Amino acid sequence: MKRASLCSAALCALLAFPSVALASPLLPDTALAPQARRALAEQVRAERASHPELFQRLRSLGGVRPEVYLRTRAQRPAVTRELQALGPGALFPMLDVLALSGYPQALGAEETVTLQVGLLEALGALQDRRAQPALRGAFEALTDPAAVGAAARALGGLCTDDEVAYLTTAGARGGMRGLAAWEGLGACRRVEAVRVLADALDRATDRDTMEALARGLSDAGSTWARAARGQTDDGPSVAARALLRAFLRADAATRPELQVALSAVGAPETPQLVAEARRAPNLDASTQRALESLERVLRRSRPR
Amino acid sequence: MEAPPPLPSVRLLVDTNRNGVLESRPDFADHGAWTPAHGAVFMANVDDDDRDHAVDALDDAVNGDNDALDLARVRVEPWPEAPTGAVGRLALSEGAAATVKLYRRTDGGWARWDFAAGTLSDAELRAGVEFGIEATDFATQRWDGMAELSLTVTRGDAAADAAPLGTDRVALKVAPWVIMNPLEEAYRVFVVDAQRYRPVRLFVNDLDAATQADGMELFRIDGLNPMYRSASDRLMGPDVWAQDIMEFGWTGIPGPDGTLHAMPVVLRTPPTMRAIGRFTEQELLGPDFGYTWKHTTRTANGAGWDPSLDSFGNLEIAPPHRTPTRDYPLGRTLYGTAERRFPDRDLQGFLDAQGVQGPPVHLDTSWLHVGHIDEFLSFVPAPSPRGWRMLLASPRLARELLEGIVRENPAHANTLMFEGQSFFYLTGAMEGQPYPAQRTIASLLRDEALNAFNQRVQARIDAQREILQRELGVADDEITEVPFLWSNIERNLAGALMPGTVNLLVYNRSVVLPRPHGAFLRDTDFFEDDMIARLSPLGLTVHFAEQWDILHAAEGEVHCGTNALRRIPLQSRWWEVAP
Repeated sequence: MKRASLCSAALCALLAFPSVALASPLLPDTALAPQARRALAEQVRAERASHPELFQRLRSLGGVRPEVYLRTRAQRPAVTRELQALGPGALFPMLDVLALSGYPQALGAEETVTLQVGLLEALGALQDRRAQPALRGAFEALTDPAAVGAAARALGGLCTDDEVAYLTTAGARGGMRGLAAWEGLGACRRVEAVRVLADALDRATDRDTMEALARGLSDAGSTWARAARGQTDDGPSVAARALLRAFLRADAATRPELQVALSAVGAPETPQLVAEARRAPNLDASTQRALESLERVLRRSRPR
Repeated sequence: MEAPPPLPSVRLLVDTNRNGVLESRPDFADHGAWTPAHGAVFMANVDDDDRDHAVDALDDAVNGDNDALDLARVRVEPWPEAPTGAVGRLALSEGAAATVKLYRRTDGGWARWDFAAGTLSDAELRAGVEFGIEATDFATQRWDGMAELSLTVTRGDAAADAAPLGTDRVALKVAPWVIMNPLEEAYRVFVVDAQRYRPVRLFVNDLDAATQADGMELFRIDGLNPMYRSASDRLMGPDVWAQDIMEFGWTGIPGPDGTLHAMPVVLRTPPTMRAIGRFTEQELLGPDFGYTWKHTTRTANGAGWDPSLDSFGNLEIAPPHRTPTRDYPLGRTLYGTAERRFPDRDLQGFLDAQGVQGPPVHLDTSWLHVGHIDEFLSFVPAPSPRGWRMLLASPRLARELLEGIVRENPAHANTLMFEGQSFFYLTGAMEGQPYPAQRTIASLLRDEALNAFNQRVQARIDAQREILQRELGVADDEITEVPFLWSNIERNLAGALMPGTVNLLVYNRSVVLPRPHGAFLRDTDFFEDDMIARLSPLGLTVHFAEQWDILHAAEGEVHCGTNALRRIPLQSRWWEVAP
């Protein structure tokens, strides 16, 4: 039997050029405007010339290799921490893999999404505005909710007025990207972002939107984050009041996420606000019980 | 004194009063009904008394005298006046027929009873006949564990629709699989060993030292046994998650001496691709040691099936307790679930069907990357009226402790945590690209994203705590908070950043914790000292094991990498527990 009949032309091509043919693109070419794409390619070329080792490190990531991740307890790929450990110098190598070159090895569907998520989360952790075009491109072009969510959080982490406005507009549009935008905006822990999320929560009626906003507020309004940066503002207070208003009108299925968010924000006045809410006339029994539960949780979460 | 009423002629006898002995009159009362107070039980015969590496109930033979002990007895009572030509036929209720087997005692031993063709002659009815009954499985979502056995005696030449000479029926219930709880006396600890790998060696050697000091047997599962490694992963290191691959339980029926006739039964984790799970069948299944495996196909599980939730670090048992509304003398099953992720459907159906440690408390683990409840929760014995305490992870406490360290001495802000430790993704040779884990206390306290994330993790734990306290009736002062910080592994899903010291091995009055690699102040690890101070007053001997590289860096800790076999509480009366 002739060799040609044993494999199709396509398969033979794959076997002959595995490193090229098996590469995994991560972002469609159209995700970046031509001008931005050219500019990025130029920056990548320059960085590669001066720091080839980091580009090399990204060619073989442990967290997307089955023989590695199947040994972890989760038994599924995860690459964010590995990428974050590369530090700020990995900005352009990561942008190259995400937006230009793709990953030089074949990946399964779950591994591909995990790598998209990991790159976007690691880029987000750098909070470098030079990543913004690629982050926006990923937010608009990717289709997996986890990857879109990671892009939104990375954009939120940039925390510029532009990004707050961009995510606010995207959030108002609704849908999968809208939910991701609201949650991602939480990575911006400025009081302006908290106010946007609080206003949106006041208007929200469906469970998915309320929960996404609650998660965003729990991050944006965090008192521990403010303690970490040594600043205080009205963010926790604004977040707590909005969350409690939503809690009082929410259905039973939505309340747990709102309760977690209230607890996660940790605003000092929350116990007092809840106590006042409990004294309101004409509370139905389920709301009364939910507030009692919330009160218990808040009591236990006070600093020792 | 008035004579007792005469018994009917056609009678089946089972151990209705659960004293391990068949007695004509005491066991006849209400023998057709089953309640927690009354009714016969029988056993899933899932051990391997003839050592043929197969569960005994799967063949059609009684494999020796030891195997015969696993059959509950059923007797067709003698009917000396049975008319000539009378014929007896036995039948099983429809739901039980696929899972229940009956054996007839013969001169030479036991013979499988054929319900379709088998009949009892007039002579046999006059003399009485002894049977043994077993199940091939426990209750599942397809069978509630109840069996009704009936005997109908007719004239041999009677028309099909003629009235029978007599009928009788008995109700029996299969014994459940009962999960062992951490307060029960342990006698063997399990770990996966592969001495050629340094990270494994460090952990196993520390565990060996701890167990030796306590006189506890340590069983080393050979992680390099080719049978325990998938064909495709021979190049990998061993699957070290001894907690996840198996859960120990027991099953039993009343024995003649007032205690249980029981056997430990290991439940194997569902995923077929976890070759290390074969250990349970290869080395544990044996005489008086049962084995069961519940799993269905990927197709049957459908979208949303997460094999990680099939791991038994996600299945725990709260020790025996009482709430204002109910007793849980065998403890209560705790199970991690998530709204859009679920475990193997057959496993969940099986656990729900056992009944005596339920209804299960479902805890939300959707916020965890691995998704197991043992990442934030454990139980230890305690000298209190309850007899145990609940341990809960607390990033809040970790943060407060770190702040306290710096407040006491601002220079300590520069003290390194995890000094010299690395995270690295292990390759087959257990080597990888390391990246340093160490960072100062100040960098942890000033990390805005990390702190916001930990505050949310704390809120998630607090929400589960509320459920646990409500369902188990645990008071605030019966909880010990265990301090460690968490990190965002990916997608806002949490995993322990500091070694998760709540994820510990408990055996008797000892605990083995992951070495925290915390802040070294005055030559000792502040977080080791802290855990000793929290647990020693409970009468516990506290050991630490080095497991950073092999377990912690791969998102697990000591509990995940170990397992413990415990003594069956032979005085237990599971049948009295109302489902």
